[in-house]
Amino acid sequence: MTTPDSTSRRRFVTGLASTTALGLLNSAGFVNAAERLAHSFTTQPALSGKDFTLDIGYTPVNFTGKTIQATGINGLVPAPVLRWKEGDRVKLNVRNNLAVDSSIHWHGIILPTDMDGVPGLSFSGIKPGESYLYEFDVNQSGTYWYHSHSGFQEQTGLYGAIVVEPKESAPYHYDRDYVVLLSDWSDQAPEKVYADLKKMPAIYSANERTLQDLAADVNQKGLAKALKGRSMWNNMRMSDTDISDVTGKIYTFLMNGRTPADGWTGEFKKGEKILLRVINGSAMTFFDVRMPGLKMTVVASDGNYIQPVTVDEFRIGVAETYDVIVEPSSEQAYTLFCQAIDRSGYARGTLTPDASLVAQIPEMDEDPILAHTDMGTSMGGMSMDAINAGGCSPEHAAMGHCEVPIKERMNMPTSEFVCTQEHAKMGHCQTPKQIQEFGTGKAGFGSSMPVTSSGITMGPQIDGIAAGAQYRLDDPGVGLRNNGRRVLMYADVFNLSRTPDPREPSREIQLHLTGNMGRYMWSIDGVKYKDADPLLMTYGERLRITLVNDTMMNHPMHLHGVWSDLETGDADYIPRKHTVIVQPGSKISYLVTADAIGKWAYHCHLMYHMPGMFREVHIS
Amino acid sequence: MKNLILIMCLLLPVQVSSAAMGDDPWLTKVMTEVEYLQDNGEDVLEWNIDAWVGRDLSKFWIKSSGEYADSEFEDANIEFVYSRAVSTYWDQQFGVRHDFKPDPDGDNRNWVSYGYIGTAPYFIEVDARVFVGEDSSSQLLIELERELMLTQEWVLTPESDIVANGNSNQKYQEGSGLAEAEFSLRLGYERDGNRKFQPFVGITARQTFGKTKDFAKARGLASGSLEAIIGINSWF
Repeated sequence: MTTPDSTSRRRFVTGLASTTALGLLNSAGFVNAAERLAHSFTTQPALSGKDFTLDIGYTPVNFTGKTIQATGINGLVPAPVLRWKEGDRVKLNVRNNLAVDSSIHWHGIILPTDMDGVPGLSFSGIKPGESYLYEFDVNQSGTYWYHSHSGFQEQTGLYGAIVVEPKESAPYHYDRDYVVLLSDWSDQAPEKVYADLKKMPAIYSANERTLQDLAADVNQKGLAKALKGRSMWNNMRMSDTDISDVTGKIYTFLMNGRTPADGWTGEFKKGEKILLRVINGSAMTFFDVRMPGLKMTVVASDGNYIQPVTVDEFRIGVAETYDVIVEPSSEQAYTLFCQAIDRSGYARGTLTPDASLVAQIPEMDEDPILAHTDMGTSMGGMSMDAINAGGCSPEHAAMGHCEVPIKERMNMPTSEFVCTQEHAKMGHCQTPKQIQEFGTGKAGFGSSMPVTSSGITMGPQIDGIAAGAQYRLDDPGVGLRNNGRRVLMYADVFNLSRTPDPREPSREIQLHLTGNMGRYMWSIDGVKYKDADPLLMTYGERLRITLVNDTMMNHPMHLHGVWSDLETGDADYIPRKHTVIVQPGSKISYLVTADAIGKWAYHCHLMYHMPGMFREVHIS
Repeated sequence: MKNLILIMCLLLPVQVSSAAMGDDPWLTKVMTEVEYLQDNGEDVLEWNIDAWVGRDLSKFWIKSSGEYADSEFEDANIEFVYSRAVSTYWDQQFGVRHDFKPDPDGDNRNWVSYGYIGTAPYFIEVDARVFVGEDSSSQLLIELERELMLTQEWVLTPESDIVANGNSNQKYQEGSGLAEAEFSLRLGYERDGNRKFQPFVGITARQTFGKTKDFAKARGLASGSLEAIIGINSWF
């Protein structure tokens, strides 16, 4: 890493170490293993059984050297791990000791609407000093999480892991399992963070484009090319280094509530298979997760078993979960390294046979830069590069899984420009005529309908439309392209068992994820939640939702109540997710079986996008 | 002048509680630029304060600029503006402006204003305003500014301001047509990338033109100047 700004960029908040290890960090942020003081294995508070009492209350925490009142459960941040058993009926008595309303949402758990915990939708919230009894049957297994759905309480610590033990033993062997709950902590009040984002959207940017890196570009590519690359972004009044709204400038990234300086520590014995239940409980941060020296076999996604895929690294969007198995083969410590997507910091842990051993912490990757691909245009060399680099695991290639996305790409609408509002008004954004409609498309393979901007309300709340948005299931995403590692892609993910609902979709809803970064406004189809009508679904129907991301940010979209069956290219093994990343300038499709009557929330899980980028879904 | 100070003071505590926050909370932003320079051996303190309260698409602004030199206020003004977003990057503004003692006789002057402000390609911040005021005054004001990040902490800000008048007016020493142009270059430092507080040093060049220049000359003032400036730019 030799970018000129690397030293200043490294001044992220590493957090406070509970040992004196912080003092031993050298200037580059590395820990010398030999100098490291002995650690103990981290214990993880957990509750198990069928009856639970959860007390929501103010909890002092100190992640940065400053004591701050967080919102915790039973005095803990993160909240205790809840261990349930598939088939049990669980009762959770949740008491709210805060001065404001609160709630708990069981993220990814399929349950009746009044147990879903979204104030104003499925129940009226829990008033200060009052309790709410959640009671429901657990009909699924795997790794999930729970969090407040009130205000910005999730940002201030109200989140925890859920592990549901399966009735029948898992289809893979492991010797021990650990929850790896990633999160982002800030000493600043989230209301203030949100207000500051509205006042100056780039306020937390840790990686502004500088004249210094323009000079570096000129050296590398020559003046003409360097200027051309900049001019497009400058003309759009956007920044190609704008990856995260909130960054390490104010965030300390946590693993199981441990700062990077402190680190979470888990034990293994040589030869053991360790199941890591990775949960992204962040408010705003995507993480790229790897363990240098170890392959990771991904066995479950959002709680559901998938066909095992062995990778070096995976990206986990806010609210997603992945279960991965690692097999440490030698008597040494391994770092579990989780870089924030914008490389403004990382969360860190260690798997080690001996608590006094610490592995080296790798350097963070270079600052990611958005490519043409991320604008929703099909031109530009990056997109093909990305696709080629992305590749396909040999197992899947053998199974013929890799061809579908490529075929799909051939059918995709193409456009040579990012559609500005001016263009849209002039009717320039229509899908090219050569694109033929042939129904909504077969289940499992995505939509064959063109991207259309006709349903979008135009205005100052929107800064562009990705008229050329394409499926990018085989694109590992910004910052992970061509990094020399095998990175998990959605195109790798196939359900382990056969698709539960094999019906073809009877209709399709296309929704655009819209926003104006310059005003920090977020919406769906140009309409914010407050002004929007609910999406209506008929009980029992099977439909397709296609999301088109018109913005330059990744949005993790979470549909409550029912599964999002992500179309990754095999109708027989469609994976079930509760949260789906929609990459910048891309589109993605999933099928939904509307088998749960009630009012459900559907929203971007980035905390500060959620107030606007939100819809109610009514199933009746 | 006391009124002005009073109004400025009132601006500061307008922080609205953000406890109950929807997607579009009622917010307050106060931006202050204060700079010091020496003009012909005279100490001059200049301020430029813009504050708004409001929501995403509509805001009320209070703006004030002016200078304090030789123990008294000169060229001070205050403007009340309603601002409405009209497109992705642009707002329209309608307002009234009050100038304190713009002429040697110590009279005040009132204006109505129309402004078009926003971000042009290449992140050029544009503030274009037309004023129509008492005594058949009319004025066009165009400010262009671009922040260039040298590093994540050092910021170079070129800015150019142009003033043109519709009519010549002896009373206010204004000549018609292009009256004044100012170009400044500020080098600011945002410690640890703190975008809220930026001390800066810079230079500013001013030039008067046409009849305005003649008025200035007649009063024995220089038609152009080049000064070093030092100041602080901040917001909350």
